[in-house]
Amino acid sequence: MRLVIKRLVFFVSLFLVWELAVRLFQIPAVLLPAPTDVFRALGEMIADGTLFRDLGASFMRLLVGLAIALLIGLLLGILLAKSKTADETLGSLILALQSIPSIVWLPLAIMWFGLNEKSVIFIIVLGAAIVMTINVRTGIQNVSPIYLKAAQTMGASGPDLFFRVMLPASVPYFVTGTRLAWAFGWRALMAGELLSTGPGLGYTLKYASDFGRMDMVLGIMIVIGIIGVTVDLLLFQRFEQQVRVKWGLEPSS
Amino acid sequence: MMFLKIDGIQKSFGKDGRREQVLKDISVDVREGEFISLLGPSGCGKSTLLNIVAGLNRPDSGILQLDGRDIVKPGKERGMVFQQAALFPWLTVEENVMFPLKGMPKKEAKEVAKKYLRLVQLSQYAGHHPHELSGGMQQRVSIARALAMDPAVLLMDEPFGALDEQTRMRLQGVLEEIWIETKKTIIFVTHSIQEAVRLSDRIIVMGTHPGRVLQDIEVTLGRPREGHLKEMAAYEESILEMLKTENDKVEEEERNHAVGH
Ligand SMILES: Nc1ncnc2c1ncn2[C@@H]1O[C@H](COP(=O)(O)OP(=O)(O)OP(=O)(O)O)[C@@H](O)[C@H]1O
Ligand SMILES: [Mg+2]
Repeated sequence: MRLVIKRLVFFVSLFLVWELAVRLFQIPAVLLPAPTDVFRALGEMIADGTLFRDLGASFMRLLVGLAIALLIGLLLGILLAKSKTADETLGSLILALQSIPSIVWLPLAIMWFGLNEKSVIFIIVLGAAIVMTINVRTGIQNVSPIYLKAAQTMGASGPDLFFRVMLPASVPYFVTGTRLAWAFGWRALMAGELLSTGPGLGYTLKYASDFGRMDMVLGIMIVIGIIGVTVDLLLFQRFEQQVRVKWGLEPSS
Repeated sequence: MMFLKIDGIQKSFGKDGRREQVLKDISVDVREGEFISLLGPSGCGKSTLLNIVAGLNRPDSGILQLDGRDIVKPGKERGMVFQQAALFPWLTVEENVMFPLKGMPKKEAKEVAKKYLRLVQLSQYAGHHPHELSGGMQQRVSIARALAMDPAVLLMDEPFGALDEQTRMRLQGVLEEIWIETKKTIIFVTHSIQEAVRLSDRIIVMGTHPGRVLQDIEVTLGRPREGHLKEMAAYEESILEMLKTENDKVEEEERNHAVGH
């Protein structure tokens, strides 16, 4: 409870100082709009439905991209974990790709798919699939040998051992992979939309910026931040924590 | 024909380029329905031997037969209980016990699980997940799980080693009752003399460097053993005495070895 109060006080004072500063120094709205203007712009976007239309479009893309990425990540991760040759060759390529932010693929993606949704989805898939792949691979390789031994003495081997023990034992890693895939995908989505086409949050942000509507720009930035934090902290990290406790990787509190 | 034949088992592991012999010419004949303990100091190769019997590890040479058939890989006729319970955390207690019963109709498997959970006095915890159980309870579940597939031999590698003294004593009682009830053949690894005497019909005392059989002791006391504290103490005494002599011998060798270099 104290935490909530502390945070509330902090954010209220932050907005107060911001508002005061803008008014006191008469900062022009194109440089930094006052929080009241930002919230008014947000209110307008909610009232005329643009915000929800944009959110809907963005989330649709994100979900499609994530679904594809998780599937690819799962399959590739299993391949890398099971085949040493694949790990040594394809695995090194994937590690190298990881250090390239997926957004820099956009020019190529636009050439391949055109200036449309597909390019953005491609960027999301690329960013998210790589982290998922790496986590799935690590998870399967790190299955505790005691589980494997125990299962073998109970007659499990081959595909049976894989599906009934190795996969479920790696679930905590899959969850972490999914959380990171979401985080990478969400950033890739915003970058992709900013640089390509709409409708979508990123696109509206660029549109607002073209018209000098910094109140709208900041409003959308706040929405992006709130969604990111909510999904990551409240949804994924909590779920991840529960899974880790259940899998005996962390003591329950 | 012996029920479980362990004859002339040799095993060495490669260590920093040279091989170290861990098991030297181990021969033990296990009778059906016998409770037999492997007793020996840390590092003498008890786990290695048990893993070999389980089929998780291959010996370098020697004969290993259960009921006349060679043991080449793990199988359901040899259940194993490890020092850590090794329960699957994603399954409930009941599902864990049902794990080896794949292929059996679900309803039947549930019945079997229920029966063995009752045997280890954990029926009320069927729906719990392992992380909600204490260490002793987890170990009981893992015993139920191994028994559920009705193995011919139950291999136990210091199953109570990680538990506190009180829980340990209680579970020894539970295990003895289970053994009296099911008449399973049990090979039980321990480095506690008290535990070995408390539970076994026979104690195989092992020495180290290399791991070998020092002595094969029959424990001819009635059951349950609780009523025979004095006689148990006498057995413990004599085994302790024997191990001391062995220790002196090892130290002597150690000294000679040091002088020789
Ligand atoms: N996979 C392995 N590779 C190399 N050396 C091994 C391996 N497994 C066991 N050893 C060695 O074999 C010896 C016997 O090990 P083992 O685990 O069988 O002993 P133990 O009698 O079970 O001891 P403890 O009572 O401590 O469990 C040890 O010296 C150990 O270092
Ligand atoms: Mg051991």
